[in-house]
Amino acid sequence: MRTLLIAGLLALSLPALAHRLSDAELQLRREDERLVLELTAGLQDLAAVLPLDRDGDGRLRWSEFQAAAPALEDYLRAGLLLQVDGAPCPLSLDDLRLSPHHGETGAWLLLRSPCGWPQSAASLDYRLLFEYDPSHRGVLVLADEEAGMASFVASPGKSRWDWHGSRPGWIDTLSSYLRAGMHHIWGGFDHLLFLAILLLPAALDRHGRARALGGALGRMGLIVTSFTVAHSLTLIAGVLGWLQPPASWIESAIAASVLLAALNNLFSWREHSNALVFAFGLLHGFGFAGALVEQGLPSQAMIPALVGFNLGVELGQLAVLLVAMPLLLLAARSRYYRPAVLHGGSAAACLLASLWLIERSLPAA
Amino acid sequence: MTHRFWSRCAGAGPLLALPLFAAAQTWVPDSPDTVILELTPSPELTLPQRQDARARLDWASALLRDPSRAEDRRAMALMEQTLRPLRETHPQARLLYATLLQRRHDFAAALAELKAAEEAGLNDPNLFLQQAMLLRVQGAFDPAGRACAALATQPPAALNRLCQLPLDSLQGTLAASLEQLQQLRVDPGSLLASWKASELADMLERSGQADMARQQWRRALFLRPADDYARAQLARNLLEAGALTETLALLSEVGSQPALRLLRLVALRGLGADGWRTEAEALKEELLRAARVHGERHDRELAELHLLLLDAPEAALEAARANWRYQREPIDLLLLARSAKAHADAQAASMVGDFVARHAYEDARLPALDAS
Repeated sequence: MRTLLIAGLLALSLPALAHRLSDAELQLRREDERLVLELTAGLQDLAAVLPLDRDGDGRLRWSEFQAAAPALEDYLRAGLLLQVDGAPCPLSLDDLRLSPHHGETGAWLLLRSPCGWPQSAASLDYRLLFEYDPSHRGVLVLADEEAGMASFVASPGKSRWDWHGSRPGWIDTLSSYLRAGMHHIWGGFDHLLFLAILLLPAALDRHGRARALGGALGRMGLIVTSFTVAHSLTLIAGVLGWLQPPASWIESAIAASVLLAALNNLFSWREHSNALVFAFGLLHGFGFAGALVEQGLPSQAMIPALVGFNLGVELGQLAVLLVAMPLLLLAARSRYYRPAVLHGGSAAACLLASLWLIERSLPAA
Repeated sequence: MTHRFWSRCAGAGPLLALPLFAAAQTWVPDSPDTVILELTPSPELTLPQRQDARARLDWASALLRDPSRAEDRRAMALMEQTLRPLRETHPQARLLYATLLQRRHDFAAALAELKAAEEAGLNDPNLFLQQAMLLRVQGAFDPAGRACAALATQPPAALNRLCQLPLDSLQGTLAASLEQLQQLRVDPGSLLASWKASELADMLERSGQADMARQQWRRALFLRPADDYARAQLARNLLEAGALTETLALLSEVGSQPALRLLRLVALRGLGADGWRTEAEALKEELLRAARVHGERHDRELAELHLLLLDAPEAALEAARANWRYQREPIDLLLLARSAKAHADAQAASMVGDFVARHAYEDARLPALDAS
């Protein structure tokens, strides 16, 4: 043990990476409604566990690799256990090719199964190469147009990957996209700022006095409803591809809408009429549509996704309104509300919106 | 299906960054006789013949002593499988297991194993030495000093001083510690001589005596040719001195050790050679894959790669900061300082300043950095 001293000391200084990283990539997908697996693994790794080099000359020839297909299939069947809806699903080697694998030559293997897409649940237990190299990892990826994408890294301690097979129910989709909509409105500072700019003057009546709760609620409700109806229309039109203005224009126009609304607060060109709010809402709807398209929509569950996202946006707005309204009404009682909150806040919004406008109008570097 | 599926999909994000979904480029060779792989046999790895605990411990201990296995990931994984079940009953297994953990840069887990071994009554100089080194690497100098002090009663006599003096040199006594270490006598042919040369070289670098440091790095490497740490440090020294051709010669057979590979690429870049950028990008991908798929962090190497080869100071600083969270050796501080300067990040620069002030830390390269 004494001689461990220096080895232990020096081990601290450089990370272990001399023994080549070993991993295999598996892609699980459906083809003609049957499950297929594409596996790419290092040839060197496979040669370490299987007698591929039959003549033992240290050179693996393509013919030797092809001749080893039965042994390879047995090895894969033993180390890749697929279960679909609770029943074992045998895999058979259907094609064998070469493929690049982390800068070296890898084996590309196509495995087919007689099983269809799982209705309830499925699992894949990956145990290839662990007996030779416990540091080996299997990177499993599920790629399906309907079910989406998911991945898993298999290791000796955690080799089994379980997943649910059927497509999500409409309630799941709706709730999932509802959350996405709420997150979008809370994370989209420009939309929130626009809403805030519209709400600031709504706390005051036409004589500059603080509105009563009922009056304020009515006015703010009208503003939010106009905004909501408008952006719902363009959100649907944008997502369904009926109207698709360039995203860069929309982003700039949204910044311009914030700027104009804030300037209107400062110079009182006109009260934020429902028509004006509606017009601006149309612009913001295209912005929401862009976000939703970017996130991706399940082709088989378009309606619940769309409804859920829109509902999420509305609920997100409502939550903001519920928090902001009492604060604004309270602040509006102060004589400093108009100069400090309404004008000061609008001026700051002008500045920010101007910066956004410049930034979004400039060509991308 | 519930939202569990979708949360899994969301969780796939980092992995999907891997180039997994590019349609596989496959091919079939034209001729059956085409050689598709020159087989390079893996180093022979004989598992323990006997299954009793003593035999397994001896097997693991021998593998850990073998310099050719020092960075062998497969051997480490097999050792881990062997040692893990022995830890509860054999404190010695904990010590060996801690060595594996420290090699994987899991310093907190390694320290916990060492503590458990100590509590189980193990009285082995390796235990205290490893504790001291791990704590020193993490910048925990006071507890590291206590671990060094525990070596005072352990033979050989120089061990305690070899542990303590470099630690002192990091805390405001660089010149005095250097002088004392130079006078410390160790068996010239022993592993301690190589260790002493490395520590001297490191102190000389910090004292601004790069030429003298180079001699000591060379000596450390002469005494222990398999010492990749000394090789990397000598390469860094040579690169600083602009000795690019010599650096290339030193790193002519670097294997797959990332630190050495990237230093070789720095030399190639300096010499105007072709292909270094492609290799650097490939190395970056490999390091990122090691983290994503294998859970192995290489932040120091990533920081150097971004700073010295990919001209990406922001990414370099991000990696240098991440590295600083678990490694606080002089080279890590220098890397953080240089990345902070390259990215003009005052907050990161102040982290360097705070560390220097808190420990009265001396490194002639840092003021030179400020002045440049």
